[in-house]
Amino acid sequence: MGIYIAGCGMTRFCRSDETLDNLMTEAAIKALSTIEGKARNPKALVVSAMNPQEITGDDNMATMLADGLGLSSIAAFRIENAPASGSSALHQAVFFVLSGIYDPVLVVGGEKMTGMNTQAISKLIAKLTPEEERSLGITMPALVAMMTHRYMHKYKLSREELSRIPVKSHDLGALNPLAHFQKKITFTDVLQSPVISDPLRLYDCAPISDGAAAVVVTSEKTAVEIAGLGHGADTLYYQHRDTLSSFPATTMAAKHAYAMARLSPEDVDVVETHDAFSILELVNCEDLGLFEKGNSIDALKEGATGLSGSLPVNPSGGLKSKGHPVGATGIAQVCEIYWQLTGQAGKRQVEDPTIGMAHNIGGFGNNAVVTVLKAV
Amino acid sequence: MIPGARCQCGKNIVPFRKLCPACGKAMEEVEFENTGTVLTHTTLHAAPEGFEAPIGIAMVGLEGGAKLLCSVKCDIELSIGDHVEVKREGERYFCEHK
Repeated sequence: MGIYIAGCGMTRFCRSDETLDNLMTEAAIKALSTIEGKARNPKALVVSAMNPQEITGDDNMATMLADGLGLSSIAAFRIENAPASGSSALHQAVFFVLSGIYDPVLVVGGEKMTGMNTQAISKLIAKLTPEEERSLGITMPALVAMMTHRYMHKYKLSREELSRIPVKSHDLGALNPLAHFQKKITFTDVLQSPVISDPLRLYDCAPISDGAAAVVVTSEKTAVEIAGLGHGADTLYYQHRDTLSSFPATTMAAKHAYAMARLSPEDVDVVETHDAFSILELVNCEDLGLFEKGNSIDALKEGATGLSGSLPVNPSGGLKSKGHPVGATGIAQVCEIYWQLTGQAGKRQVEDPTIGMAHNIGGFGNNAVVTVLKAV
Repeated sequence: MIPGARCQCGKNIVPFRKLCPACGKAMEEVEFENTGTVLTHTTLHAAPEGFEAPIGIAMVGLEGGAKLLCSVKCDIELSIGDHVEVKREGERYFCEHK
């Protein structure tokens, strides 16, 4: 495709005192400062934020950020696609560069969520589901809990096995200086944390975080190529889906991305996938074609998805321990894959990866956005 | 009976929609039997604003092929595979053992 990543930058994901604008500016400056030459001067800015208007009352994010960065004369847009806003903004930037209209393009995603109490943010995120579901008191955790029950029933996954995922996430987050949680946890911590929606407990859920991430996309050759893109989608209502235990949207997105990159699942060396809830790390890997349905847990138990395994999954700590400021997440996943492919991942460095994949979800499996990156 | 819709493409859904969410074609208005099987369920303890925990929810596979998310009263314990009956109470559907 001839599209490359010129540089990446990210703030720490955490509970922050900084404004959303400041967080996004910090990430943008970090990304730009790693770049020399033409790619340091973007010709367009694409901003990702899911719902700044309601969460913090911030508005007009693209213009504010462009102005603050001294880029007030360039085209600036905001892309929204629920928690898949980040990767969608990145894909938009790729389209701009591919068309030749704007090149290079700066992509910045951020969200500042910790100012709202849990109930209020839960109600806001539940707007990603239809009114009829919400009228029953449904929240995102409730939907994922139902998927979990169905998956456990279908594939005989036990609650103890499920607990391995957050433990692994924290083991890796402990190696990531930008992660929200940098402390390991135990199986007991997971199983003793309060039930959110059975069988999911607090420690099965990614935290609410603040943070931002940025990437510069260019046609100028660099060490990392954007090799494939894919976007899949599904019905809004869970009850209209063909399956209750996985996300066909992910499989569709991955299929397009593999085809564009002329690769197959076996070629992937490292993956960052959308583990907003523990079960999703398993479901996602299977929907991405990386493991057979029901078998991701075996891969985890064998160590295949750990740092020294055959397919490290979420070396950053994933959404669970790295954090999940929703507008930033998709871009942060690409940052991690970029750092992995360029040997800049510090203590979480995977050995010699060539192909990396980032998978970002919007809503309850409504929009899945996949990006394949290649070290060149 | 539960009002819903059927499409030429084979999709059966509740509630009625003019256009099929799967293929976009015009849907036919139909009614489904109010009995089915529990496909999955949960009890939500972290209630959203405006609701009180615990909140019981189930996904029922209706006999006619459509699926329906419905409320479950707190004194009812469900398992996947249970046969249930769905009744409307006010604005919501509730399911209980047959």
